[in-house]
Amino acid sequence: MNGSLAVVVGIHWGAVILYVLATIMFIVGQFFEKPRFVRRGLQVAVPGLLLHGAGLLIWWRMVGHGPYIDRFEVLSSNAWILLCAFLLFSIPYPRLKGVGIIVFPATFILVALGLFFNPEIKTLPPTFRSVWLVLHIIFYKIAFSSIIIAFAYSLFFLLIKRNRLKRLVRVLPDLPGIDMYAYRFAGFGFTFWAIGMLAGSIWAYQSWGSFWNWDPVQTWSLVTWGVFGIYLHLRRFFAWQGERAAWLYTVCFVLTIVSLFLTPLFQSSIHAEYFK
Amino acid sequence: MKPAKFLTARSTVMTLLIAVSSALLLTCFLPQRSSGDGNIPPWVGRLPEQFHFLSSLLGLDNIVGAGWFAFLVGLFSCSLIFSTLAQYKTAMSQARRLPSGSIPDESIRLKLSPSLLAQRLQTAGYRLAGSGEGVERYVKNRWGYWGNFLIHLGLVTVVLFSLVYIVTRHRVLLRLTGGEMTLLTPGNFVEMKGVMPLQRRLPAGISLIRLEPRFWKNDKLEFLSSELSFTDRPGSQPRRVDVALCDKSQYGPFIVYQMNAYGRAFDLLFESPRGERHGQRFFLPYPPSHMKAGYGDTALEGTDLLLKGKFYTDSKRQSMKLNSPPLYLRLQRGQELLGEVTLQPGAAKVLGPLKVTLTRSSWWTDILLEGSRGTTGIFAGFAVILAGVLISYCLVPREIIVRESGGTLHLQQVARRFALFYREEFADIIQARQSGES
Repeated sequence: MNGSLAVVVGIHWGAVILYVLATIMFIVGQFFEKPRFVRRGLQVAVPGLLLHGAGLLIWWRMVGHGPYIDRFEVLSSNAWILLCAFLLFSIPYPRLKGVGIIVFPATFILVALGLFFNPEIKTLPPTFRSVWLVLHIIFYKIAFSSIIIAFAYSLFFLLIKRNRLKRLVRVLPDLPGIDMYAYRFAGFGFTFWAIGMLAGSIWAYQSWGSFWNWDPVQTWSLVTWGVFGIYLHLRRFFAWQGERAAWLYTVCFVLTIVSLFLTPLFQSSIHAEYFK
Repeated sequence: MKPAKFLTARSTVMTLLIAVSSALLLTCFLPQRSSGDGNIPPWVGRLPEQFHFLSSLLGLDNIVGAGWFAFLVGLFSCSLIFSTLAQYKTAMSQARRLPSGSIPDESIRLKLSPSLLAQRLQTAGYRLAGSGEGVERYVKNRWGYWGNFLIHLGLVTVVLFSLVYIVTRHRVLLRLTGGEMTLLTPGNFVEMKGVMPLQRRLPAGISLIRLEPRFWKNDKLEFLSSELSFTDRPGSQPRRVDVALCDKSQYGPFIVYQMNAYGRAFDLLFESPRGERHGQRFFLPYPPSHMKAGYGDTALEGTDLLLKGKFYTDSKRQSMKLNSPPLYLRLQRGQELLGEVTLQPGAAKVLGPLKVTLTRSSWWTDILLEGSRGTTGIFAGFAVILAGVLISYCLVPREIIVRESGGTLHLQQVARRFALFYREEFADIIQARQSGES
């Protein structure tokens, strides 16, 4: 078992190295307007993603459950889905590539952070066996990926508005375009967050016979979703845009981090083993 | 004003929404009949005389079951049904409408044969959705027109099935002890009934035949299952029902759930110095690990004494498997310790002023019987809402209107939402055409 653990950790570090290389090439390419470097960065990220995916699969087989309990597996799988979503979205929307400046470093930081948390094989509580749980987690991970992408755009908006990132302006859409991308991905995240909550609710009903337990993790998730709803509502019906929308989105992003990664640490809940 | 117009007016919808939400919020602050044992909650009796009439008129102790609440929900449902129909008509007209032939200022002029343009639009995912006198309408993502309709349809479904759930709500929570039949008589279980519960007959009694917890090597619970025996009526043939955590079973109209709580029940017999005897059952939760005890305390019936107890799974503290664990008891009056003993089944010892005998120990667990209806409809409604949101959000319909005038084509792109997001797509179509032409 220790040998397998060493293999998984080794594979993850290998992926981190490839991601770091990809990040350097990608950022250099974007800042110095060298499309060849950008292309190389993306090309290096793909084997990194494959290696990382293989590491996650071996881990899955070792522990006997999906990557959704231990901190290492949660962060690692979130990073994998984030990079995967970014690469997939970049195909139909080439203008999205600029956001890689945030996505690439976020990916390797998440994996490295997971490795620093000491990977541990966690056992699964009996209630954590349901197809609805798997769906619940997948939807949250997709939501998390789009929320990071939307955050990257909100951050770009705020920085460019303050005459920062001058070198990046040419590779990114114009300011209204950046604002629109943030809006679109925030809506995407909101929708998948809602689907994740619904799947979680069905899981709870199947497991305990109740949809909702006002568990701290659930409550924070609902609050976060509600604030995202307010953000989208203000944009759609009250024409909020630009800087104030970007600031409100930053609040949404902080709430996302709190509800996904901090609440489980401070309060006991039916999400007992998650991220402990 | 037509009823449909009135019911779908923004002010009406907002008023209804606020009224229903406020009523539901009120149920959180005022204890309700439906959330207890069906009896009138004590706060009603404490009301001053003059408020009694008002309280019973408004049905404040049973808001969800009050006529005015049903009227509000009924109005809200009608409003939603009318809105859904309106959305259906809107989606139909949007999918079929044909714009006027007059050329708007913002259209882009092109010199190209209509067939070449049609080919280019086809490649970009646009499909011909209608044509008339000198005008053609190409649409990408026609499904997107149906997003709002689906959202409204899902809302109607959720509201209607929520009503079904409220009306038929019937949940029974009971604690079973191994080796005996628990009769479903008042006081033995907690029952939550809906506004007009269908008279689902409860079984006469349920026995816990066997409880099986299994543990991982790190002492965490891996599996918990119960073998139950349901007796429909006294004297009838019992029926075996197996349940486990995350593996529910059906018994007649009820879904049977295994709950998380379980442990050991200790039957104690107390004898006072005056020779008075009384038995009491002490429920203790199962220890969380082989090194830790399962703790609990309870008031000693008919006295001001507090009984504290604990037990380990294994007297040698080596395993999570039950291995004739002794029961440790303490008797306190307030903070004063009156006595403490360690008991094995069948043993009798002195505990402070009392003599205590541990007559039996057995498993206990909680079981839920769920007889409510409508949950599948509620989930289906939510799924339809989310499908609607996804469609209207991810499949934004874009139109390209092509008008022909004097051998020149005039192109106009229309996107109901995120127009800015799709301007590059339009520019690509124009650009690609120009490249192709050259």
